Amino acid sequence: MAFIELKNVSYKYPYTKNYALHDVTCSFEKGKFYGIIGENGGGKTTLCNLIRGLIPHFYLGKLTGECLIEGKDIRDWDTSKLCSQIGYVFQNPFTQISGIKSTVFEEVAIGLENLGVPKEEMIERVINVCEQLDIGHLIKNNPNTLSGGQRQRVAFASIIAMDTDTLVIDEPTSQLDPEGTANVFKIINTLKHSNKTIILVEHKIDLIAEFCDEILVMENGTVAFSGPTHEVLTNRELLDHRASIPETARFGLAMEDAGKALPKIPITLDEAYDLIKERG
Amino acid sequence: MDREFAYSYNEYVKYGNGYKDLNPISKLTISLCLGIASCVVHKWQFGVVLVVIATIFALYTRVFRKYIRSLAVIGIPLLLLTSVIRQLQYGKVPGNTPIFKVLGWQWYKEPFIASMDIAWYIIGFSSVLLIYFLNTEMKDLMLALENRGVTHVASYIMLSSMQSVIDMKKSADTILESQKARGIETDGNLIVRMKAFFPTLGPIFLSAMSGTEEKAIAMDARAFSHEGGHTYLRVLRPIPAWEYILDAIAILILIVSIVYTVLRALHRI
Repeated sequence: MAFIELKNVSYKYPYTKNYALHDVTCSFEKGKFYGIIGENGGGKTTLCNLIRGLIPHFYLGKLTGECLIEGKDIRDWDTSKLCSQIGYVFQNPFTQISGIKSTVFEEVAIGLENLGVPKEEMIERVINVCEQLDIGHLIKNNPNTLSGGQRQRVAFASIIAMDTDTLVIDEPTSQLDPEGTANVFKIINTLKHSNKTIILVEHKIDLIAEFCDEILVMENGTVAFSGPTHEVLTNRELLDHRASIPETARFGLAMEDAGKALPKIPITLDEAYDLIKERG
Repeated sequence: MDREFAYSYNEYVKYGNGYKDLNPISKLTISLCLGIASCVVHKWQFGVVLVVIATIFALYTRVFRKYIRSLAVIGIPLLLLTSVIRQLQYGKVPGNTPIFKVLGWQWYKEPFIASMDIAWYIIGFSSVLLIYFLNTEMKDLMLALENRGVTHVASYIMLSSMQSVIDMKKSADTILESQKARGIETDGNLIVRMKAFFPTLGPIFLSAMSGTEEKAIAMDARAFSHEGGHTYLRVLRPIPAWEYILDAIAILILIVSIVYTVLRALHRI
């Protein structure tokens, strides 16, 4: 059974005319890495807000259809319990710092304090996460003085420390410089091997291609395409939907058009390299 | 990673200074009792004694510079102002003992002492509170209050409000800098500065409001509304018996000062 299941879900924010999500049906299985792509205003963040329970508990508005988390409708979930099941990291690194802690170590521990984790265990978990995310050198720093990239890593750390089964990550690099982006993707790479369910919204399509098992393409509040990453990203129809595809896939399609098709259309640089090398 | 630092959280919160290590609520009780006693007694001698004690603590806790600077900002204008006003009100205070002349203006002892009483009780009150706030982290005070039953929500609101003020100042500076870059004059006399500052208020408050929504979501993701027991990474040390005795002495001083003042008033009648 799918861990998260949406059946004909439509949603519109309060005081708005248009639906942000329109008749969305999709599902997310445990342990898989999902990527959500699509143009701005396509409903990606709204979908994240729904999965995380912010809709309908935080954002009111009109919600129809069914959104089931572990078989239970999102309307029946207590958000205070949902936060220990689904972690959420979003775009703005500056508003994800609590503002009340004076060291990064304390900031990372904040979720564990709220969950009532015993102190000794809390310290061990924070140490592990800080080492895993390579922010050990920052633990004494005041989180309010960190750069955007560093704050985003600390935000990741405090959510990962809570050890939720599922992580919803909404455009974590949209406000970061290339170095910050690289560091965040190092974290995402670590998460990929952690057997968690990850739902990542991201515009950097090459990175999505590298990490995700499955992809959803959102357009005007609906799911335009969904399926295994390779299948979706090599679909020619995607180009008609203003969705970006990896440069390597574009190259593969162009080769196909030129009658010099590669054995398969590559979606990552490594794949392209191997295929071209194979051809000789 | 500095593991020693990480494992230091296994110990109680410690600053290695007798005064700083007092429980924040005990410290607050002592400071408030002494400060209020200064107001109740309303005698310059009491205020001076408090300032002397507070100064000793300022030296002991190494906050003397900040302390004396803040106290001077409050104290010097207050001393001058009350002295002048009281001398101008000459005749309202019984007695007319001349003490000295300032540029031909005769000053009298009785209104001078009355002005000192007013100024020093305020300075005394301020000095003990200054020492308290210079030596107490707000997060420790909120932690102590949470230990006494204040909800973590109230505690968070208090602490984050303080951080919000700092954040708003930062965004005001950023907006002013960008205005400057666009050629708008932001430096100069008061009117020029005000003209540059007031238009920034809208964006500052709007960004603060949108930030609040995101912060609420971020805190929700950190299980802020999770029901059930909270645990704490930082733990204040248990309050020893002698600290309760210190509190009791401070409360006793306040009671004695109230009784003394009431008796003195009755005696006058």
